[in-house]
Amino acid sequence: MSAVTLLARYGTPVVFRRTNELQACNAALVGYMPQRLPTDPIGTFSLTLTNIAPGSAVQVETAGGTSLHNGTSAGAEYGVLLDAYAPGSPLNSLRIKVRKGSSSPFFQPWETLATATPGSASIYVTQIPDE
Amino acid sequence: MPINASDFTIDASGNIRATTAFVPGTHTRYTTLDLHAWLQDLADNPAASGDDLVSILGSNPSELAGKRNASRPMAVTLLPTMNIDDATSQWFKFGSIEQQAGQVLYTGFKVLGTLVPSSPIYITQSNNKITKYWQDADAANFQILVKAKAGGALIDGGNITVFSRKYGQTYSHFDVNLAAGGEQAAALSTSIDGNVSLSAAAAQAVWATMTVTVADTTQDLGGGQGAKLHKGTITLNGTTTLADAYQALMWATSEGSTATINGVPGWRYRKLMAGYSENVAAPFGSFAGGKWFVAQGWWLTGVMAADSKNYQLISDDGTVQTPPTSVQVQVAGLAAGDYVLVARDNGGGGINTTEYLVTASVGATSINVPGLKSDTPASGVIRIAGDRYTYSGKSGATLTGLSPAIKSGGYPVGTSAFVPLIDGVASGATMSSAAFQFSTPFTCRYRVRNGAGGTAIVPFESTLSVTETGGSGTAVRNADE
Repeated sequence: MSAVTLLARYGTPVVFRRTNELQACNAALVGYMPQRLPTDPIGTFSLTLTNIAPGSAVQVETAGGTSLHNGTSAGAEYGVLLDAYAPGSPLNSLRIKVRKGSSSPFFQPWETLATATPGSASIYVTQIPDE
Repeated sequence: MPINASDFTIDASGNIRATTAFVPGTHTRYTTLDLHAWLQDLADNPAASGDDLVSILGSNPSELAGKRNASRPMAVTLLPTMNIDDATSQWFKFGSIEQQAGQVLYTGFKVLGTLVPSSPIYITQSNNKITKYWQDADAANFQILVKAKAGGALIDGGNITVFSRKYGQTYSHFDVNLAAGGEQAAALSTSIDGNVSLSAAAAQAVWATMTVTVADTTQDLGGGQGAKLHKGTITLNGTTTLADAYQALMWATSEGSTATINGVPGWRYRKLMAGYSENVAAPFGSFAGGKWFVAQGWWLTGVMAADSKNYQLISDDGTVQTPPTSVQVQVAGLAAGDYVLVARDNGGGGINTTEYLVTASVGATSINVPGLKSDTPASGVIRIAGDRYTYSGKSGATLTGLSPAIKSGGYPVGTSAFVPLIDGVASGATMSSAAFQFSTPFTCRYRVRNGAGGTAIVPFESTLSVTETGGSGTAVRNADE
């Protein structure tokens, strides 16, 4: 069916961005497969930081510096749930910052890079004491 | 001491700036560790706030060389665009701050040693005084940062010199290199100068009567060291005491001096020539016990007669030159008519009659005496092969004005001779030699004889020591009849 025919039959076209939206639409549209945008996540990435000093500030951001998560660890493990994007997307490139400079024991700022993929990953944090 | 955040701002470009200028005595300096701790404290904040724009959203602002230790000077590196300016650096001490990828370095500097309380301290860099951002009272615990590198280049090779030169106190200075960062130390020592009694204004007035010139001059002070090269001359006006001259030169080299010495401002004048040892406490030499120990290389003229012995010089080659010390030998316990002979002892119970070896031609009225001692009297007697001649003058190794003229036949080469200090008949109870220039101590043997009828005595012989105060002996006259 051509786009012209679809337009005549169903009126103004609607762009469905989300899978759940697609499922909720008229069954007649089944077969009219939407295409994801590069910025659409394809799943979730469960990141766990282990061996982190309690009280450390955690920042997860894109390589471009856009903040994705900001928090403080309460224990030795810290979990973050993030979106994962299509392989090759620059949105999967993550910079993880861990800092603890407000109260003793102090640690030197620690940073690492990671790539988000659907699923989970654990990163061992090796903070170096700064006192 | 944690940093009071209101003392500084940090903008989005990383410029750390003091909100007010540092005022010595009002503000307290933070340590470089305080700065690092504060930046790290800010750096784990979830977001920047207020006027200190540092948070976890940005880069790590600082790092330390080593671990935090409040007992040690901390070398802090500001990253990557974080920076302080010169005014802000005045708020810090006890460590160093490096920034802009090593292009700029502020190094810690402290003063050690025993100082008169509130001794003023000033620092020179590239031969200029650094504008003070400290107070005199800081002398007891002097810790600051000094800019050592700018634009990737060490300032004057990283060298500074710290001085304390307060007129009325002894002076001190110390060279320090700041290139290594961290905290560098200078050892200073000052004390009250008991030789300073003039006011600064009075000393400056004395300075105005003096001339200090730098030029080679070869002079013999007459102390037996011979003619020596000096590289400069201090000329007094003939009515200035050495004590006052010393004070004038101390003023001329004090912190507040406006004098120039050999093209160098007095406040940083240190010595006449590069190879000389410094007189740190007094650049022109110390004054002690009423005597001025003039710094190396200077020749002194215009000295008052009363001060003629109250100084010593050091020539260019390091020879200590002392003014001539004139002494005499005296024998007491005499009676008129006694014959007195005083000459150098030969160490074997006799007179050294072979003190010199000479030759002389008949009729001569002068004689060359090889090796003639500097402590030979300017006039007196010379005995040649036992023959007695008086002389009236001395020029180098030549005795002149011989009387009588050399006898018939003269004296062959190698004839023994000696120069007695006293060789004549007493006219009273004492008899003295002509004055002569003391050089080194020696021993004299003296003989007193009188065989004349009625006053004859048993020949008396003894020894006496000649020192820098002269020599004296007393005859014991035992009648011999």
